[in-house]
Parts: sequence; structure tokens; C-alpha cells
Amino acid sequence: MLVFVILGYALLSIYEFFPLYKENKQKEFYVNLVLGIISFTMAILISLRINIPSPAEAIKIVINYILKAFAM
Amino acid sequence: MVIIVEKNTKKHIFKKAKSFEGKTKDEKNTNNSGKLTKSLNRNITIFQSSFSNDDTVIFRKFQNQYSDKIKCCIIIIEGMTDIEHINRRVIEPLQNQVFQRPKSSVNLVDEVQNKVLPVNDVRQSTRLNEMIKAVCYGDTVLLLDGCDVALIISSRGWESRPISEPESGKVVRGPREGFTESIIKNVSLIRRKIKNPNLKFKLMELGKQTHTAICITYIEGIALDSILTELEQRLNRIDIDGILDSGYVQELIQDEPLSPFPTVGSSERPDVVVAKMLEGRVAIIVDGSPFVLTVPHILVESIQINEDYYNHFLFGSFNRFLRAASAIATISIPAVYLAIVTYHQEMIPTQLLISISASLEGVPLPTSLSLIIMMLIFDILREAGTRMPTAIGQAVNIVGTLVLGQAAVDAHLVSSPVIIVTAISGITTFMHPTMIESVVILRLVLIIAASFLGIYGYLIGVILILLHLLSIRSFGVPYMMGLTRLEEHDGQDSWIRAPWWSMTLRPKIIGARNQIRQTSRHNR
Amino acid sequence: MIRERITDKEATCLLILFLLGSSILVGIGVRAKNDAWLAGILGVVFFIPFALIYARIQSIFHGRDIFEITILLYGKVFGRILIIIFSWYSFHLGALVLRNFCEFVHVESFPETPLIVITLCFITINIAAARSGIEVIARIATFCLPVVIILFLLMEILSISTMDFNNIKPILGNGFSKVADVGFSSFSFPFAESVILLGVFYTLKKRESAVKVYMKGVLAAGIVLITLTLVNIFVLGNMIEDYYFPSYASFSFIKVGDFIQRMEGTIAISYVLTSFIKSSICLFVACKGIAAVFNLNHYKFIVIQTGLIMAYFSLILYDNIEEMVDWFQNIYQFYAIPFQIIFPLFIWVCAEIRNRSEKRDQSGKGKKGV
Repeated sequence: MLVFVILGYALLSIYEFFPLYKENKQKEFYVNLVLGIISFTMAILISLRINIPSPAEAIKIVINYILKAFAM
Repeated sequence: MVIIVEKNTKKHIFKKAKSFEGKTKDEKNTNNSGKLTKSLNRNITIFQSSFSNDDTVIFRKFQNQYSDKIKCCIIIIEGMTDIEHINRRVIEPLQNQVFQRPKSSVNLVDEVQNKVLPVNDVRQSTRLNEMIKAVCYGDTVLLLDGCDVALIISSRGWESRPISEPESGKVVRGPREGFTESIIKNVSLIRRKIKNPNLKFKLMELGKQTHTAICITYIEGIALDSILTELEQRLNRIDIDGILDSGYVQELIQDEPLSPFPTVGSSERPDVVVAKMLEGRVAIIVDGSPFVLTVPHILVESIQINEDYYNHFLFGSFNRFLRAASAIATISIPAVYLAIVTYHQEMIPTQLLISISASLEGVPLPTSLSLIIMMLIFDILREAGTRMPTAIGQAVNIVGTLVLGQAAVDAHLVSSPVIIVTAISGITTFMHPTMIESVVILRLVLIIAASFLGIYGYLIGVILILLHLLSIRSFGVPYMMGLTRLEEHDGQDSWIRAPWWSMTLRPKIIGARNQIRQTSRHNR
Repeated sequence: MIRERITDKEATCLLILFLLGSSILVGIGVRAKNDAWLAGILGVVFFIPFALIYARIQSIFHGRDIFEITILLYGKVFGRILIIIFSWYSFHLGALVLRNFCEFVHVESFPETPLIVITLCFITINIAAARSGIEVIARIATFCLPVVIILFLLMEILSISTMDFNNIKPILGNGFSKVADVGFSSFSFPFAESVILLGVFYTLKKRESAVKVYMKGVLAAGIVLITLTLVNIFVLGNMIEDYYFPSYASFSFIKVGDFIQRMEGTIAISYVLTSFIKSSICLFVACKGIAAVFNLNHYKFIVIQTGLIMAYFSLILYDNIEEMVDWFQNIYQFYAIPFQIIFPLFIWVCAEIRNRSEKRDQSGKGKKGV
């Protein structure tokens, strides 16, 4: 699983990052790099079956708190 | 088959092509001094050194029977020239006519050109390059003793195929003549249909070794300048050693080289090409190829067949609907069958499901694999059938029916529904001959997609194809034009073929320059 | 770069499909049981003033996308914060739609295939669509809409035999307050989600067309959704709440003769098409937003990575389908308030003030000139 992820991202970076770097589009390259790193970490975490905390839970807690505050 | 000799009429259209000479390096190397001398024998030696090791070049020396001083030599290549024409119109008058040698040598050339040769296309030349090139093209070079100027006499003529009905795109109703390999004949076929000075022919030469003549044809006032300039730019960019068929040009000027869909059209029929030119397209005739290219080419043209326009419009529309439906069917049926049988069996009515699963009994391969293999076998048979001589073709047919037939089912190699699906899909392929290349690929892609995710995989594949179709363009024209954005007059000639009296406008964008096809709506 | 342009017709198709996306899947106002259709009507009625506001924003700043407008109104710093909020919503919504649809495929057709495989397959077409630009998405929408509508009509006609028209009674059996409450949630899902389309409609040709497109699109989508809800109620009755995917369930009862039965597989086609359009638009707008925040030349460079993050994000959002449905029914309408109501109001008020003062300035200058 992990091997597939790394292989996939290696191919993707050849397809995506190198042209950007060659064309000297620095800003695009860096933004894309940051996004790429985020998605790569997420992919690895998912492939290792590590639980990533879901923002849906946090939102639920916050909204319930606000609703209670209004209901008071 | 009747073999006719192409007469050397209309040679003037090649003059422009001739002016391209002297561009390539290898020609310059053969040229020692670049100029002729006054001695006939020395001139002949120069030519012989240029054409060394080429035994097809004929050097024929002769002189006038009344004056020994007039010695001549003609240089021609066997097979490229109209020998009869040269014998009667060049050698005979030079040998038999009485004329005096003028005092200055230049005058002799003038004398011969003006008074002796009864030939329409003769010109003087002093440049060796030009002469060598002319000989290569099949023209005759006439050298005269004592002159450093030679005459180039147009004498091209070779045997070529007569105009006959093309093998592809046969019609029941409609003109039966087709283009041939000769560019002159092809040009005349188009000119015969559009008798109008606005019909323009631009000549070019492509191929560093082959010097293939290429002719861009369009109707001025209808064709868009932007398409024309774009086409000329792309043609000028071509830097290839040889062009043997218009397929070379087609691939070199395509918008989307990786796309399975053709963005340059080709046809073997003058009526089709002329109809496209009347819509504002530009045609490219390539010497040596009976397939004339037209740009821009959009998807709708694959379901437009010339006979639609010659038959009753209802019948034409019906046929067009059949073609569109079978285009969708041919790529979809195998994938949808596979998806339903493997993943969505609940959609099949129970009775049918029982018989299908009975037929799957004992078949070793999974449905997806057997479907792919059967499609491949079908494609192999199709490919083998097209190249076979007719006699062997029948043997292929018999073997093919056995493989794709009851024998295979009886042997439990494949299930019978797979054979039916393959057969339907295979037959519908031939409804649009121009699309075969793309259909074969897309069908396999969709089968593979459906074998992964069932009907969802199939839909993902279809959406990807649609996205691709919608994003590509041919010479600036959206490829799906006429099929989407159906506004006024746009749908008249796409999903249906509207009656002629109502098609008053040319298609948008392509015919934008001169939109009006008919002035009156009511001229029936 | 050639400016992209979409016609009014395409924009309407886009809006309708956007509104139908994933709402035809999970149904609207299902908590109101057999009053769900009333909740749907209320949702449309609530939404119409907001539709006018959205359209007004677009027609004041004709030809500019929401990101340019925000920066123009609120400056570079605060404007960027607003853009981040807006694109977050677009991103999150895209992930929700994706999750919804993939969960449907996973539960109903491919229980053994891991969810991630389905999600990755589906995000591929979203990425491809977002990369080819809004013009292509809009043209695909014109293809998809007739298919979707025809399929629905066919299904609805075929399911007449399974309908029980008494299911609709008692009307307002659970009281009006319940209907009003659910009406609000059907306002936020799906109708007010069309705030995302502010990031798309800068491509419209005419200044006035935004209002027309919004009104036509919302009404058409409302009619389709309410009919669908009615059909679901007629077939399923009060059990409508018990199904994750009510329309899929109600169409599975179809049985005409021996041949036409279990047609729900066919309706999955329209789920694919609508969800595809919706999540593609969300991805497109999110990418445009990110590009606007970092002032990139073109959004195309970041589509692949954003799409992948969106896919992973949709996977980690919930652990299972119950959690998803619960979140959708109880939390979403409150979560969406800032994006659907506050954000556009912010922009609209500021835009109106600016518009007025600009007009006054112009007329003032005119007078001075005289």
C-alpha cells in the first residue's frame, strides 16, 4: 500500500512539479509543493491506517455549544 | 484497367512550385560552377556528372538536317516524360525545319523558342540548379551548341490511374468519381465542381527529399482568414524528409496529436470535399494521395455522410440518427453488458438472468477477460480482412465465423451473450468508417473501466471522454460544435439533416465570414 | 488566455444540476417525514430573497469573480481572509458531496471495494473537469441535464403503480414548527449552497442574466426536487426517514410486468452526473480561491493536489454512514450559516454602499462639469 502511494506520488511529481520548476514559475511551484506535501502526508497516514481527527467532530462540538448558548 | 497518359496541360500551376528551387544543400553540391558553358559537349559532361550512376537519364544528341551547325541535345528522364510529345514537338521541328543560325548565340535560343518549337510552356534558363530540378520533375532540357542558355520545355507525363469510384465511402445515390494519385487531376476535379474565380489554389512543396507538391484550396470570401493563416503556419513548420501520403501531413498539422479523435478530415470524394469547402473549410491536396484533407474537422462530420444530403431529408435524418446511436452503442454495449452481468445482476429480469448464468456455466474465463479477448479477435479479423486478397479473405471469413460463433460456445470457451455483444458492437463499428481508429481504443478503455467499477466505472469513462471531446479544438473551432449549444440554425445539420430549403445559413464559426447560404427561406 | 464565456442556458443547466447534486441522493427535508415536500417549498421560498442577493452581487460587478470582488471591497488583507473562508466552504462542500456519493456507491453496489478506491476513481473525473475549465463543465451540463430529467420522469411515471396517495395525510401532522425547522435545513441544503456559483457566474455574458439564471434555475430545481420528494412520500410514506437514500429505495419498488423491475440501477446514472457536476464546480471554485489567495497566475497548476486533498478529506470526515447522515441532518444547516448568509450579506451591503457612492461621485462630477 505504502509502496503504491510513494510510487504514485513520484509519478505525479514528474508530471506536475518538474514542468513548473523548469518554467520558473516559483510562486505556483511553492504553493503546489505545499499542497503536495499535505496530500502526500494524508495519503501516507491513510495508507498506514492512522486515524486522522475529523474536523466534522470539532464543528459538531462548537455548533452544539453555540446552540446551547443561544437556547439559554 | 484503362491506363491513360496524363497530358501536359495545366502545367502552369506548377510554376509556383518550381520557384522553390535551390533551397536544399545537396543540390548545391552537385553544381560545379552553377553556369553553363558555350560548348555543347562540355555542358553535357556537366549534366552527366550531376546525374552520374543514373541510367534512366537520356541524353539525345541530334542536329538539323539543313544546317550542320545547329547541334542540340535534350535531357529527359525515362518514364517521367511524355516521349511522344517530345518526339513530335521538339525533335521533329528541330531536325526538319529550315532555319538559319543567327549571328549571336542568344538569338539562336530566342529563335528556337519563338519560331521553331510548337510547345506552350517553354522558358529560358541559365541556372544549372533549375535545369536539374526540371529534369527531375519530368521536364525536358534542351541544350544548343554555342549557347550558355538552355530551354526548359514542359513535358511531364506519366501513367496514372484513371478516375474511378473509390473503395471507401461507397454511395448508392451521388457522384461516383473519386480522387486519384495525381494532384493535377484532383485539382481539376475540384475546379470542375466550383466554376468560380474565387476558388483559390495555393501551391507549396514539402519534403526535403521527395519535394511533394501540396495544394491548399479554398473559396475566397467563405473560408476564414484565421484558419488559412494558421494552416499555412503549420504547413511551413513541417520539416520532414518525405511525404508519401496525406496521412503524413494530417498527423503533422493535427491540433491534438495524442487524441484518438481525428481533428483533420480526409475524403476520397470530390463532392464531399467541395461540400466542406462551401461550408468554409480549407482543403489540402497532397500529390500522390487520393485522400484530400479538410480542416477544421469536428466531431459532427463523422456522422455526416454525403448521401444524407442527396436523399430525402427524413431518410437522411433517420440514417444520421442511426449513425449517432450506433456510435454510442458500439463503444457502450460491451462495457454496459459487462457491468450489468458482473456487478448489477439485480437489474436483469429473472428469466434472462437464469439463461445468462446457464450460459456462463463451465466457461473458464471471467466475463471481462473473455469480452476483451473476443473484441481483440474481432479486431484481428477485421484487420486481416482488409489486407487480404479477396480469395484468401473468404478463408478468413470462414475461420472467423467459427471462432466468433457456435463452435466457440459449444466448446465452452466463451458464453453466447458475449458473442452476441461482440457481434453487435463489431457491426456498429462500420457505421462510421472515419471513426474506427478511435472507437476501437475507446471501447477497450470503457470495458476495462467497467470491469473495475461496474456501471460507475463506465460512467466515469464516458465523462472523461466527454471532457476530452469538449476541451479539444480543431484550428480554433470547438470539436463538439453543432452538438452542444444548439441555438438557432445550429442544430440544422448535426443531429438531423434539415431540408435544403431551410438550411439558409452556413455553420457557425467555420462559415462565420459569409454566413448566408441562401438568401430566401422560401425558394422551394 | 481566452476569457471563458458561458451562455444563459448553460448557466441555468449548471445551476439546476448543482442544486440536484447529492440532494436527490439523500433527499430534502426527510426529517419532516410526510411533510418533507412542504419543507421543500418553504426552503425555496426562504431562498428566493437570497437568490436575488447573490444575483445582485454578480450583476453589480459584472464580469468579475467573487474573489476579485472581495479584494476590491475589503482590501488585500481582510479580503483574503474572506476568500479563505469562502474557498474553505467550497472545498468542504466538495468533499461532502464526494463522500455522499461514494458512500452511496459503497453501500449499495460495492460493499467489498474499499471506499478510497471509489473516491479516487471519482475524483479523477472531477480533476479532469476542473482542469478543463468552467466552459467545458457548463457544456457537459447541457448534455447531462436532459438525461437526468428524462430518467427522473421515466422513473416517476413507472413508479405510479407503487404509489399510495394516502401517505401524504395527515398534512402538517407533526406541527408547523417542525416543518419550519426542517424548511430551514432544506434552505441550507441544497438551495443556499448555490452561493458557490458566485465563483462561476463571472463568465456570464450579460449583466442582467444573473438574476434570470438564478430565478429559473432555483425554480426548476425546486420543482424537480419537490416532485421527487412527493414521489418518495407516496411510495415510502413515513418510512422516508429510515432510508439513507430515499429516492433509490423508492425506485427499487418499481415492477411493471415481468421485464421492468429493480430499475434503481438506472437512476444511479443521474446520481453520478449531478454529483459529478456539483463536486467539480466545488473543486473548481476552491482552486480558484486558493489561486486568488496566493495571487497565482492560473488555478490549473494546483487542481490535482487540491483534488487529492479533497478526496482524502472526504475519507476522514466520518467513520461511517450513520455519522454522516446525522451530521447532515443536525449540524450542517447551522455550520453553513456563515458561508451562505453572513458572507454574501457582507459583500452585498458593502457592494451596494460602494455602488451608490460611486454613482453619486459620478453625478457630482457631472454637475461640476456643467
